Amino acid sequence: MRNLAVNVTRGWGRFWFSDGSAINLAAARILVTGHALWILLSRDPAALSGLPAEFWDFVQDTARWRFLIFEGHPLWEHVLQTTALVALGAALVGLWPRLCCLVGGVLLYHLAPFETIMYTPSPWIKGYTVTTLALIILGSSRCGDALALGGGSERPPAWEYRWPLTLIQVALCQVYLFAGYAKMLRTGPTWLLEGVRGYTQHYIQNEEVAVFHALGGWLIAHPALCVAAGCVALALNLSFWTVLFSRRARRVLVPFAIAWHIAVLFTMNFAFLEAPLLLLFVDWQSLRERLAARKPALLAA
Amino acid sequence: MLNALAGLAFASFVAIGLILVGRRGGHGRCGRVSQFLVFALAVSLGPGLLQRDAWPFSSWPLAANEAGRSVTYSTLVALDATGAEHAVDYRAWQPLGFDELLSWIQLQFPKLSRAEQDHAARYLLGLVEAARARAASERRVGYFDRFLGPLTAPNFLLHPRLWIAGAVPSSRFVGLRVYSETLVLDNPARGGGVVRRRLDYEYR
Repeated sequence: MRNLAVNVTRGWGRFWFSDGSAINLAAARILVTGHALWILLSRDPAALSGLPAEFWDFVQDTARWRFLIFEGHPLWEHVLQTTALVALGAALVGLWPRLCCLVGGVLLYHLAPFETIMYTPSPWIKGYTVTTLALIILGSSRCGDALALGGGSERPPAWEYRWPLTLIQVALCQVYLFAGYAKMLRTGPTWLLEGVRGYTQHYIQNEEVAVFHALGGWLIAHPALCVAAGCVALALNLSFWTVLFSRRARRVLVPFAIAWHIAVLFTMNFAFLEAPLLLLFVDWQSLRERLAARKPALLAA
Repeated sequence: MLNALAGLAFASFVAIGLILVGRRGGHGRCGRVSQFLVFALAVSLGPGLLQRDAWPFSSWPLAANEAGRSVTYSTLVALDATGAEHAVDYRAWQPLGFDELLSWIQLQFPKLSRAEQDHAARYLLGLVEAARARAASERRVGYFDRFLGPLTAPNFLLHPRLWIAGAVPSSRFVGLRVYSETLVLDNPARGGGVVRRRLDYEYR
């Protein structure tokens, strides 16, 4: 028992507190704030505060207080939305990055639910979920020690750069893990037989959704391939977490997940908006070092 | 109750992050970070394992439910002065998301009184007519692409752009209809397609 406790403690320490890279954490800051800006600049959640009262009739008071969303204040919400954009922009370039990440994360928590609150308090599929959590994590971390306009000279122990990035990566792995878990819990093994075919059929047959028809139509004409695709989808969901522990898994599963999301886009007409955050698994520090090492050779050529 | 718990979870996540981790250095920092990590793991794993969404700690039920043999959904069309129906480009409803609007129409709209439905419909008609007029004159539908143009983030569910050049309805919209459609998920040769279309509501 004592050995187990020692091993768990050592494993915990290795996983969270090994040496990290200031560059990788800063790259995470840039990716996360860039992603948040991409989503927020592509929407206008503040404007939804001005919807007529009928759209708010069934919004629970507890949901209002949970997000501090009180309808009828579009001007004020636009001030908050602009503040979020400025904070995210400042965090992107590394100006007061911790404070700006925190401000951006808290404001996204408030603004994102506007998009869905009239029928559900959860905007889980709208592209803000992992980003909101990541911004709060970055706001508590040393994310501004590299790739920043206002970077300081003080350098903490290298493990301070590891745990925040790892925690954000854990949040991203949970997307895949829970997606697979939810399939098995809610539908069971029959999902493997019918899930891919059913959803593909739905989203290519419904004229209000179908943008891409060809690949989905070809897929559903081959039932065995639909079952195989379902097995691959579930395998990806339930194995993706291994990228947290294995470089080999990362080299295989991250590109595969990106390719899978592209395939899903063209078959089912689903755009998984959190997919660009898969770049969080790239070791930017190593990439930078490899490019720097090749530079003299390239210049000589 | 779930709203209160979820709100508390997020507030605690922020507060604990700031209190335990936010201040630099100090004795026992590694231990404080570990405490924050344990809390973060607990509060993020709970919703997933229990499949109770507590956004931003989500349960991620992506395509998890049974697809089923048929699906019933609401659809909205606009009417011109002659009573002809026109499909509405999904961008015309902005700032409302098209999928969110249809979900609200299907789930909440029927619970409103007739007067409330008419008031909501009047707002939606104003929205979509303004979008039609702008599309006809400026050849722009919606405004979400105002900053990023072609790099604008898509919706989770893609939708076809109906009001492309030459396809914008020229007649002014004066009414809306809400239909329920039932779609059998199968090839048309095997009975698939829209099998039922019921008019649920009309506003003029």
